[in-house]
Amino acid sequence: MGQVVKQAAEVHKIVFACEAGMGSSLIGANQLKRKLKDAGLVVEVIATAVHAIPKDADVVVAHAGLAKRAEEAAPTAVVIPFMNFVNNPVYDELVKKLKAGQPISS
Amino acid sequence: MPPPTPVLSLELIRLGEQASSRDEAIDRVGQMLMDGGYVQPAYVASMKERELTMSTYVGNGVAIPHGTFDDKTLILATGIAVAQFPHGVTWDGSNIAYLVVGIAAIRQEHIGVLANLARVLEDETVAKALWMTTSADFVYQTLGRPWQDET
Repeated sequence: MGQVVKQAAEVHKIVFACEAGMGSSLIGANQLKRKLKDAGLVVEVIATAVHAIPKDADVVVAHAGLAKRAEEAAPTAVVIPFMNFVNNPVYDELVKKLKAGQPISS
Repeated sequence: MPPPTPVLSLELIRLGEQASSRDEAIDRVGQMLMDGGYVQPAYVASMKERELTMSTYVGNGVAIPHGTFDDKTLILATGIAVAQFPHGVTWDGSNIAYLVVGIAAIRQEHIGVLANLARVLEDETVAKALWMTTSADFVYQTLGRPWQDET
């Protein structure tokens, strides 16, 4: 699967995906929402199970073990894998790039 | 129509628990969900299995064990069981959980409780208060308070 790149201005919907969509993704989505809000960015963030990622997702944040399934579910989205909820660097990197208008890639 | 059983209630909060392993801690919250009529017994094994793919430790001494997607069929009603382990339970590697929040969710009825929990995770002082409190009502008020989506 080729690398997907999106311009910051193209990012309207961020999906936080976990296996069941029951717990982890909701916590992660909330953490990310808070950081986006603090940065004054208006981007929709939703939490779903990995098999239910909507086709119009621009960016998908998923645990590394689920990244391949996320890429298959949303081939046009930038999939950003993470390893750990604790001190997850992905949020700050993503917010920083969106704020600076830099391209987002997986 | 209101759900037949509350997502969080004082009956689903236990303080001052002890467990010598993650599995034992999951047994505790799993049993609470079973006793409350929220899950079938096999759901507890699913919660343990889920930890093997990715730890549900989410920071500040909090873990949120829950089952896998395929085992959602074992959930009878959406519920959240909270068990406090003041001495901690080794969750994964160096992470120690003091508050174990067992989740069984059919849809998104529990999103308010998780949003409150997400806020707790950002504030070490509140998180530690939840690890140590002897008031179930404090836990209930902190996690069960009304909530509105911020976005």
